[in-house]
Amino acid sequence: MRATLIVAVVATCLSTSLGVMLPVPAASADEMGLPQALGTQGTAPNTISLPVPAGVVPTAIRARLSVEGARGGSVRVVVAGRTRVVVAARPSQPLSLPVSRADVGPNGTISVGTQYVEPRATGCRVGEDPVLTRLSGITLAFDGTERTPTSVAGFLPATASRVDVVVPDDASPAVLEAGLTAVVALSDRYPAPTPVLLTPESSRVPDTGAGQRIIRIDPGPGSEVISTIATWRDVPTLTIAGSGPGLVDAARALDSDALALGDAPSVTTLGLSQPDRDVDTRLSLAELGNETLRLSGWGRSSAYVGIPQDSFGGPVDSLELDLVGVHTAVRDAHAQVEVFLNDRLVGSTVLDEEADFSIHVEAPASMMRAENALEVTLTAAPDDGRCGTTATQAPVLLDIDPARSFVATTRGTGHLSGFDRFPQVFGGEVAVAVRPTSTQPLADAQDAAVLLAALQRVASHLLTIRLVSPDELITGTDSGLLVGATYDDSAALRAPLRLSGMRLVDLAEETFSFAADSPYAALEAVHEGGRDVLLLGEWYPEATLSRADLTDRAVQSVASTGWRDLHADLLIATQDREPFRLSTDSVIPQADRLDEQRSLIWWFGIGTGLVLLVLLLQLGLASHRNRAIRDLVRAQESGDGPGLDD
Amino acid sequence: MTLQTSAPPADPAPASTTSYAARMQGDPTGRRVRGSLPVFAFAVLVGTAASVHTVRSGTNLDYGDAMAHLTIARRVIDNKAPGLAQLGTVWLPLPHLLLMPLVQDMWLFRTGVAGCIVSTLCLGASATALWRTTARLGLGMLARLVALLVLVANPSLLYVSTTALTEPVLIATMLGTIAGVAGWCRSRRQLSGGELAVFAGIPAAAGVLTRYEAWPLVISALVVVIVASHRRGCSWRRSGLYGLAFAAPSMLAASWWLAYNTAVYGTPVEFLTGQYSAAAFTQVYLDNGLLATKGNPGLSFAVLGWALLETAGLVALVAAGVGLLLMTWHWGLEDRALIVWMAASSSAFLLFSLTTGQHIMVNDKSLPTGAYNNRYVLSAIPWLALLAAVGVHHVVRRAPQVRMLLAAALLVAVTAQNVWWLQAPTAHMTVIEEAHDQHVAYTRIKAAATWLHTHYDGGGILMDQTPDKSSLAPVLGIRIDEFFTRASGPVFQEAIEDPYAHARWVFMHRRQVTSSATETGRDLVTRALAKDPQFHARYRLVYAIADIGIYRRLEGTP
Repeated sequence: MRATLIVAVVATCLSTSLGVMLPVPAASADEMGLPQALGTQGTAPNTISLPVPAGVVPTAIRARLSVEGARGGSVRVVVAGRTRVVVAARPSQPLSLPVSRADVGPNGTISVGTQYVEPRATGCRVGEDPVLTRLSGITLAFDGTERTPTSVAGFLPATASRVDVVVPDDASPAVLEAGLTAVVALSDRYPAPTPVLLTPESSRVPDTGAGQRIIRIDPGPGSEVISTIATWRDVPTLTIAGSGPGLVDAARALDSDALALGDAPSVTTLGLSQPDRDVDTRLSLAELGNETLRLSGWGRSSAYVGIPQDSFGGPVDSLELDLVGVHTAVRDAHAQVEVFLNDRLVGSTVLDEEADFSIHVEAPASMMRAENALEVTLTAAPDDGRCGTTATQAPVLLDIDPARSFVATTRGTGHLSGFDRFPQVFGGEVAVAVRPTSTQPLADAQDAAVLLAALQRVASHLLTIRLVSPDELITGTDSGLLVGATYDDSAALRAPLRLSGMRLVDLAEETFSFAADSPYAALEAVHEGGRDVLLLGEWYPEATLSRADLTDRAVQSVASTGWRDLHADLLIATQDREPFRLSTDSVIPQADRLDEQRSLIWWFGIGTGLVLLVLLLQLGLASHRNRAIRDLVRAQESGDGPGLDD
Repeated sequence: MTLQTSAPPADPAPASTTSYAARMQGDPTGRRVRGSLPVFAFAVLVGTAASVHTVRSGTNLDYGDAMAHLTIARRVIDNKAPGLAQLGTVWLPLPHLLLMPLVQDMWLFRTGVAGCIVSTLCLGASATALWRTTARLGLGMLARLVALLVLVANPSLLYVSTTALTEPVLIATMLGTIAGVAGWCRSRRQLSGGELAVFAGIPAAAGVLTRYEAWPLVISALVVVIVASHRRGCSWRRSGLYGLAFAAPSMLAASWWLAYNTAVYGTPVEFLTGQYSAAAFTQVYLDNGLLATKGNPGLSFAVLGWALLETAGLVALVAAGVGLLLMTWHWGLEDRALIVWMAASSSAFLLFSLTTGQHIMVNDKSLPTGAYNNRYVLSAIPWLALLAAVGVHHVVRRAPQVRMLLAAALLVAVTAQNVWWLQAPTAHMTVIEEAHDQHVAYTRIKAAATWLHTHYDGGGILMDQTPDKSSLAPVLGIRIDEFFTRASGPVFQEAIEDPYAHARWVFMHRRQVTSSATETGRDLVTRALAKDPQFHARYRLVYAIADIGIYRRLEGTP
């Protein structure tokens, strides 16, 4: 229960503060799904801003309101600063809030807030988990059509329904690198479930209505990169034309706030150079994106901080945390602070009359995850047991100073394995190799784009894409992504699953079966030679005439569930069932892998040979010594040899 | 070939012959070896301290096999169908017979302290035998202490020495055999065949009745006895008679085991081919393509080597490697070298068994990976300890001035190794990892067993204790004759067919067990009752956790 609670709250907080969004239902033609979600804890109010596409008239906001852990009470819903409705706190209920143009603020957004209102009570709920209120599945209903943007600055909306990065069918590596960079940049800007896709020019782009955008990457004649907005296939389109490194920089700029400076339909200075990768392994909570951390009230209240490993520029295998802050003097009450990391208690202290607060905790490698959830909990109860409306003293308040509270980490990969090592093992830069295997143009590059988008959405910084050849990636030492992998690639990388026929462990507990000659696609996490490579490939029997394009199913599965839903080290897609995750240990050892182990017996042979060699030498020397003694004795016995005295 | 025709004298004692160390070193070729008793006491003390720790934390019962051994030992007497047939054929009987008198006490049984007592005494016996062996090999004091250090300071061995697992008994019998053979070979006086049978043959026979790894030791010891006799001037016939004297107890023990199998199961090879045999278990893995070591000596070597590395440790392996080369260089094929080589027989047997698919061992190097049966390599520790000691002995003999430096270096290295191990025991020590894995796997069913222990009010319990993770009698802590289990004989089937007339309580899986490799691992009670509406009409589910259910007969039902 506690773990579920924490996961829910962390997800909510992250989605609000870091922009990681939650799935929303499909929107109708005059409805638009919004990825935002709003989470509140206890009786604290919270607000989000919902963007309204330019030119449309909003008519309603629909969402699902859920309240967890409440024993009665109500939820106040505020729109544009005014209480719009007060509903009873229920575990889950739909909400429909009528809105109008008047509710749209000057920045083109509508603010929506919620606050849980406790029932009148005289006792304290010490020890109970705080009430969690959550507004999710938000959609915006509207009339009218979206106004076409007129400048580069206003081209990208606050919320998009779909973004296609269109490249020529015969895109050069430079254009493809720019296209993949654009996908990554836009995936950082637009969290899931907004589709951000790499699309070949010849492919059809479906109409998704308001918020849809197209970015075209065109090879240009000169080195100057020109970005121009227009309408293409009835969709607002930004065309980035040029060549050389500037094209990639322009694509990267799609994630930059500097885009707002392009106050014209066509600009030539769009660009964002590759960021400095010298990321510190010690960051303050403020640098991790937390502006305030306040805990207050009687009973129990918590604050959550996400600590993704890749915030520190790479994998880390332990961390030390110094929390510093100030609290109100605690008198005639008991107040204690507990610190949890990934749902495990790592520190605790009791608050007293001294205002200064500090706590130091350490987390070893065994506790570390790719994304670590830090929870600070304040539990406070007055000695007289009177809370709420009958309270006789002000509640305890603890302010943790995010700027003075630091997380110091140690570089290392820790105990994480498989997909959990990504994206932090990239260190911010991904070597991407695409081996074309499909008859469809750019199909493998499209798969790469989907995977990169999923990785970017769990990354703390914008990933830098570096397109390399498959051979360069395989023979090199960099971590990266290989799409369109063949059997030879999997063997060269010593992948846990070689792309050839395989059979799954068929013990009774397995609920699925898999024929040895069934085609499949696999996304594998490979740790080889001190680096980590993601490998996507497909295998089908030689008798099969054409490939089954199962890789598409695998990557779509990643896109729909998100990277963090991947565990173990294999994702398998087959023709008969939904893609499923596996550990390599669920696969019956393939003949190739077994054969590779045979050579290890040579080490045994070498060791045995060494001992035998020493033995032979010893026996030879002993034999020689014995012969010498015999000769000596014989000579003494015959009386004509040297005596012992000699 | 270098032939030693008599026992060489011990290496010269240090100049200060009046020192305690010198007196301890003394004449190693007699029957009495100074220091044996203190070494025994010291090892027992260490084992006791470890036992206190594991009993307090409950980890001495983490291994399912440890609970199974305690259960088998108790049910020989405490059972609806008592008798020696309860020893079964899955395991050899001696460890159970040793446990039997202790586990009749419910506290010793329930806490697993019975296993601690037997295994800790075995640790003491092992240390003593190792001490006596190193003395009879003529090793110096430092070398002998190093051998003890490798054995007693090994956390994995210490852990199993607090459980009812069979490895401590195996190691004690192995080292007892080696010490006996060493004493016989190195004695100044030609000992009689009877003495050989008593001091080496009986420990070997005990090993034969403990684990199959001891059987190749008997063969290698037989060879050593014959060769050593012949080198002392005995005729081949007389040497053969000595060999017979040594092997007779083991042959008798093996014959008893075959006779027992014939008497109880109607076939002398039931332990090899029966439905509960290891062969039946490995066959399932083989059929599923998971016995990857079979026919793959490279992988077998890698798996065994990794298990050794994680269990014995890098320090012991390196010291043993150096010792092996020095021993080979200095001793060649002398009797002393052959005695040390005897200790390698169990490791050779393990490598052979893995390569031929008779054993399963799973660790980070196996395909697939995991943690299973790595504790088997604990039987290699005596060999490593002897080699390390021999290596130290030769280094100190050649360069006495480095004695203190070497001692300090080894102490620091072993300490560092142990500190590293203990930083993350479940990650660094595969034996502890296995224990932890089983602790986790048993968590729920142990909770159910504890609940039943608290709430049982008599009336009998129907429970199949054979399925995977169901051998829980110590945790249940209820007299075994209260249970209707497969070991209860025909009355078990009667109780399944008519539970109402037999048992007030039913403990079963609510869904059939699917995690077992073999068909024998299915829950027969579940098979009969889980979907029987009559059963559910007359029994009430009073406790449930995961797929485990405890049912109580409704009041008024006869």
